[in-house]
Amino acid sequence: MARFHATPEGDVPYTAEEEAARDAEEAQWEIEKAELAKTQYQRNRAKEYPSINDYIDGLVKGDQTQIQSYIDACLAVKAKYPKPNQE
Amino acid sequence: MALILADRVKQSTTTTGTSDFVLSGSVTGFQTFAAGVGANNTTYYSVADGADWEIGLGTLSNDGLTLARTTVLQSSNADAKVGFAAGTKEVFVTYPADKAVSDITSTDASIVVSRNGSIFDLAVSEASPASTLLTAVRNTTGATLTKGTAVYISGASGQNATVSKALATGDSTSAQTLGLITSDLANNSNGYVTVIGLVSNIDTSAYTDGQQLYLSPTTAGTLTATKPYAPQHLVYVAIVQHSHGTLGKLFVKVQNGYEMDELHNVSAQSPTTGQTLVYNASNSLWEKNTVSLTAGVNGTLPVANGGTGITSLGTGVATFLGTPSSANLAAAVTDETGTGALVFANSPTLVTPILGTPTSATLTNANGLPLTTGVTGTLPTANGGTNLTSFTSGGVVYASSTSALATGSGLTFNGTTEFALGSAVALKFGASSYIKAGSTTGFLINDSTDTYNYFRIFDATGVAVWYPSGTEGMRLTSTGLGIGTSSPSTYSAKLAVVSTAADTRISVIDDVANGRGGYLRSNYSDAVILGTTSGVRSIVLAPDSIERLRINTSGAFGLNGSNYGTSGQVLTSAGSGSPPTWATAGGGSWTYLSTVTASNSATVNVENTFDSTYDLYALVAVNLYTSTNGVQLYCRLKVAGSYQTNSYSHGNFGTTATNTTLNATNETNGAYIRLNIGGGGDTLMRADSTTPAMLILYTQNPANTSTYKMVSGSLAYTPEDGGYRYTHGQVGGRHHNTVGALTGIQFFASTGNLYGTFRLYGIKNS
Repeated sequence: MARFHATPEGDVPYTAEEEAARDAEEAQWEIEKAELAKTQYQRNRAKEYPSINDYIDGLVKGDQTQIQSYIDACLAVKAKYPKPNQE
Repeated sequence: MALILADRVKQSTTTTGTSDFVLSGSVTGFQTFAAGVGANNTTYYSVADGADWEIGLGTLSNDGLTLARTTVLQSSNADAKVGFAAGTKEVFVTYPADKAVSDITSTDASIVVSRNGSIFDLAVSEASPASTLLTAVRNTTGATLTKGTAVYISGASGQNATVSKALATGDSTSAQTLGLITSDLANNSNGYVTVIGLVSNIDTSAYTDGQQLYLSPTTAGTLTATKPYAPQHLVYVAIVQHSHGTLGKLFVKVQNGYEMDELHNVSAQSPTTGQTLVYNASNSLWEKNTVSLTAGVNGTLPVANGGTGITSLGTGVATFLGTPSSANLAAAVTDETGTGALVFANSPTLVTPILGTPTSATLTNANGLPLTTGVTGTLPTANGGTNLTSFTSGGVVYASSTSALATGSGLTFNGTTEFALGSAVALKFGASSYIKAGSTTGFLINDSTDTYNYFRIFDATGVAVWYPSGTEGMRLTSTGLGIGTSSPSTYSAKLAVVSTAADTRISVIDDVANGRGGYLRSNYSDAVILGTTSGVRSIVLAPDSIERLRINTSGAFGLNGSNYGTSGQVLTSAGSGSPPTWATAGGGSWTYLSTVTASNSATVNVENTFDSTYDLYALVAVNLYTSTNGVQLYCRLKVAGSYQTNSYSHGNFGTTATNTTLNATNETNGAYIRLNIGGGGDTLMRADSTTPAMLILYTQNPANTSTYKMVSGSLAYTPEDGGYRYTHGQVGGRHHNTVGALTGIQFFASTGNLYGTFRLYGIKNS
């Protein structure tokens, strides 16, 4: 489908050069999106890791159980979202 | 009358001389002539008187008393009548010796007449019948007539007929054909002609037995086997009984042909050309005549033979044929119309009626009638005409009544541009309203009274004057329009429209004496001016008869009367429902500049409204979403006339609804300014029209051409990843390669298209 610019004066069709440039940009985005997919596990893990405060609090209190619980939770998240090359 | 011979008939007579005998008295022992012979009969008589005697044929008179001496056979007076002397003589019936019959035998003994007492007998011999009939003739032709020559009786000589060679070329040499010469007959000698019978021992070798021979029309005296036809004469002469060179035999039996007029019941001598035989019943003869077409014919001569095929003619037809006149033709024709002479197609002369003005006719299908030369008279209005024979030049034809047209000079038309009314003629409208010519020039529009309620246009002075109720109410002159004055000038009238070299104005004067009032004026150089004359006069605008705006002679604006406000106050709108009011002036405000609507648009270009008018511009995008899930949102700046595609640095950060802080990201040499928060991945744009994003970007001094251009703002949206329900953050970026005026901002997604409304606002510092 032909692209167009929305302008104050109305829609203006892309020129051939603009179409080519746009195609190149979209192709670049596909590359970037593929790269993002490779690190998706990191973002997934980040959203589910327990709070670092729990680990620090365990260190301050010398509560090994609390520390281990933090470590277990982190390992569970890692297991849930493994690295792609480890699968 | 009959020849009567009777016995013992005798009477006495005293007749003398040569007169008929008057019979007187009877003689005893004898019967009278009346008794024995009978009146009117003839008889042989004998008279003797001494030496005188007479024998002859007498005829008894009707009364039986006189015996006429018809023919004297013998007498004592040399066989003529005897002149008897006076005395009684006896007259008696006798049988003269010359008339006595004795036994007679023909030469060839074939016929015998014998008498036995009072009995006579004619006997024809059966043993030697007569086979040939010869007649004695004499040859005086000057040459010998040879045997077999065909001859005709050409005269007589010595009590014998003379003969000549017959020839079938004419009646004179063929009609009297007698027969063939029996034997050679020398000139000036007597001989015989065989009339009927055989001529033998002649050369007949040229013919065949039984052949009919005719008199030759070419060689006189000869025969031919070719039957002659008219004009040659046909004479049957002989039949070849034996064809032989020397012993031939011809049986002669002449049968002459007859001329038509020689028939006993034909009387047609000396006919002329064209005549024919016509039977005349009155004399029972065929007579020469021309053919009668009235008698002697029957039947109907058909058309194929040049006739008519009819047996009778219609009434008057015969008269017409005899005298072919128009009147006779009309009398013969049964269904004609009209009278007079017959008319033919070319150049007829029609008398009554003349063709141009028929007294009556139905010309339904007629055409081509020349209306300029073919008609006379005047076409009445009842027939669609004018009933006029002449017209006034230019005069309009009008209906003078319901059935008549008229014309005159009161209303004329020059055919192109002008209708003209006579000086005393008016156009009438309704019962009593007129348009008519003025007394000198121009025209009047008035009622029935010329001097009352009229509008005089262009009178002698060149003005238009309206006289309501007999008083001048309005005047239009070459200088303007005045109401209430006969001499309109700038302020001399209650209402004046005046045009001068300086200006054109409409003045409304309430104080005519002092020339005070208002005017609408155009002075040809500035504008249309609404003003007042000198004195205390304000300009008041009073819509709906309520004063809303006033400009007094000092130039102050008064609202709703004489409310001129206080110094420093400004007009503040109260909307369309209430008049504005004077209010203390406030600070600046955003001004709407433009809108761009994106609907599945690859790019959105907000441009052309960036300039030096405002100090700060704000671009607000609402209902913003992408056509594709999980894409980046970018923008570029249009600097120095083009959207730059490199050398962008940008940074952004934000938080989510779950208090997640999205780390700041930045780029220093990008191809665009990324607007979505974070580094991507979990905060990409969402293709969902129900959860659109809202973006605000500010930029300043866009018209400055010596600084790099930047944008800064915020973005609030629901990312594509459902993990972050709501994200809000600060966004911004700058182009750091090219300096120039900023004239546009372009938005687009990393792929796909955009939806949303992009509005641009501007605001001044003060």
